[in-house]
Amino acid sequence: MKNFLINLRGIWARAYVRIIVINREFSWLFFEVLFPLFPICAFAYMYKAMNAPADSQGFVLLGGAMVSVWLNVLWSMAAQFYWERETGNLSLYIMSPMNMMSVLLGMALGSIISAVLRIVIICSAGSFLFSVTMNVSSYFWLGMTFFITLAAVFCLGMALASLFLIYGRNAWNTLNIFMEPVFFLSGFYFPVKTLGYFFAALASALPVTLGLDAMRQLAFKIGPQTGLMPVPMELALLMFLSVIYFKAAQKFLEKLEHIARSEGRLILRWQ
Amino acid sequence: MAIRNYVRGWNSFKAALWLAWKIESNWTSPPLFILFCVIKPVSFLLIITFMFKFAIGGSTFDVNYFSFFFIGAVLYIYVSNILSSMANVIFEDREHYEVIKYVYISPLNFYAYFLSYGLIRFLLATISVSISFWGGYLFLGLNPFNVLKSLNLFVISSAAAVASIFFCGVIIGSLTLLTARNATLISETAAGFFMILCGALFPLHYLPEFLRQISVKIPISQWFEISRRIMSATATTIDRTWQNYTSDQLLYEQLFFCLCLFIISMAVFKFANLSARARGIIDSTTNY
Repeated sequence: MKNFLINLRGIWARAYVRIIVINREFSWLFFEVLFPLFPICAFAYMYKAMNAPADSQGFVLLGGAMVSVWLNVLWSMAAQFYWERETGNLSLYIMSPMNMMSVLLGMALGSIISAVLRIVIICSAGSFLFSVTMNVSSYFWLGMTFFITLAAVFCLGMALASLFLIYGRNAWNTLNIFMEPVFFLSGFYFPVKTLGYFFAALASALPVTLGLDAMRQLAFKIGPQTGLMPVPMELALLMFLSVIYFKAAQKFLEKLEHIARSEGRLILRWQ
Repeated sequence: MAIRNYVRGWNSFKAALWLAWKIESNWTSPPLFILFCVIKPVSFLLIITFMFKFAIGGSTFDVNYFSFFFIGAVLYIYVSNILSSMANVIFEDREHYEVIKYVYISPLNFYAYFLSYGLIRFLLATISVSISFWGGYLFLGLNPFNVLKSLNLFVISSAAAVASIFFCGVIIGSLTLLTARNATLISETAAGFFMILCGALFPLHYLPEFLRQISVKIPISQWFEISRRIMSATATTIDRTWQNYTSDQLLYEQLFFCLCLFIISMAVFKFANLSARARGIIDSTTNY
């Protein structure tokens, strides 16, 4: 019981830093909202110039909002342990009496709160700018899909965080490499079905692909025509992926922490 | 005195160029590094291509129409690459490697230091742009070799545009002196800003009037239009904003605004530099 409480406090402590940083470093929120908003506007104008269906601007808006989640997962989850090691916090976490999984859970929880805030701002601003009309078939399932997607995406972030712990600058650059290809493969700005079933199925290993596709089907009139597979199937897959990535995060953390300890990389900086 | 300053600036530029190359390239093997340089712009172009495919639905693929979007997207690679590199200079030196105080107190020209970081990314972007145009030529039916017919115009316009991107990079890099650890987002935001205002992906006449007035004063917008005209071998493009302008007029405007941008970049650099010193945050680091 005592152990459980210590871990709960650990989760809250790590999440608290993530939440409070919104006030502390307001410029982060400002740029994290603006960054996805600019490409959204550019791509929405592009669709307008191409005489695409009206809902395509809504597709871009939703995709752009999810970009902020993906960026959060990459830079604030996957790269975080690497960054913590650079700043010297990682060894303090390991010496503390809590489980390292609590740190990861706290990071994810704090990030989800700030990510939801960003999504609300981006969607509101985008809807206002482009007068996007949504045609929601079920608000309940739309909300459920959104939160299951967040859970799956942040479980992936937890797994990546452990994985990147033993890599040095490679991790940083690998994250950079992942940004645009994931924007492409996950269909952030166009329905993933356009890629063809084979590539779309491959891209489904990333939870954000399935989540985005399901949300588009539930929120827009032409959504079901452009959907990759039925929404219930996508939700089931998302839940499955959440469990897989959570388990993977646990395994990776255990294994890689051991490797990092035995090779003396836990306090190695500027690698 | 002037000559000594010039020599010092040149030496700073060379030293920073060498350092930037080491930082950019020494983390991995050359093949992986080339993949790293290519994969990002290629993915961006694939996004544009598949958006086009989705937008036209079952209609016939019109190469001339598509080339407007493609050329802008390819040239935009320079904007995103150079800006992202120059915005990261301060972040890397200050918070990652923690060497900024040593760099700062050494006898170098800090402005030249910024520029040299961007130059490496310019060279890498040139590789990506070349590959993209070859891809467009081989698979999409575009003909980038039309530039040979108006080579002088293209070279002068491109040089002015690249210089303008560098000046914008200095402005953004200078501003990162005043912020903490979010250089990546600042650079991406700035790149997105130029994606809209320069009409990289769509004709500028779709923008609201007040934004269009800003767009026509950014020298990169004129470059995109000139390049599209030259590569498509047409007198005008589908962008109605520039229909009353000849290519020469566009070039003169571009050169004028490029000069203005240079002056602004010097002013912002000076302001940010003095401001960061006054606030004592030149070498500040964060722990969250």
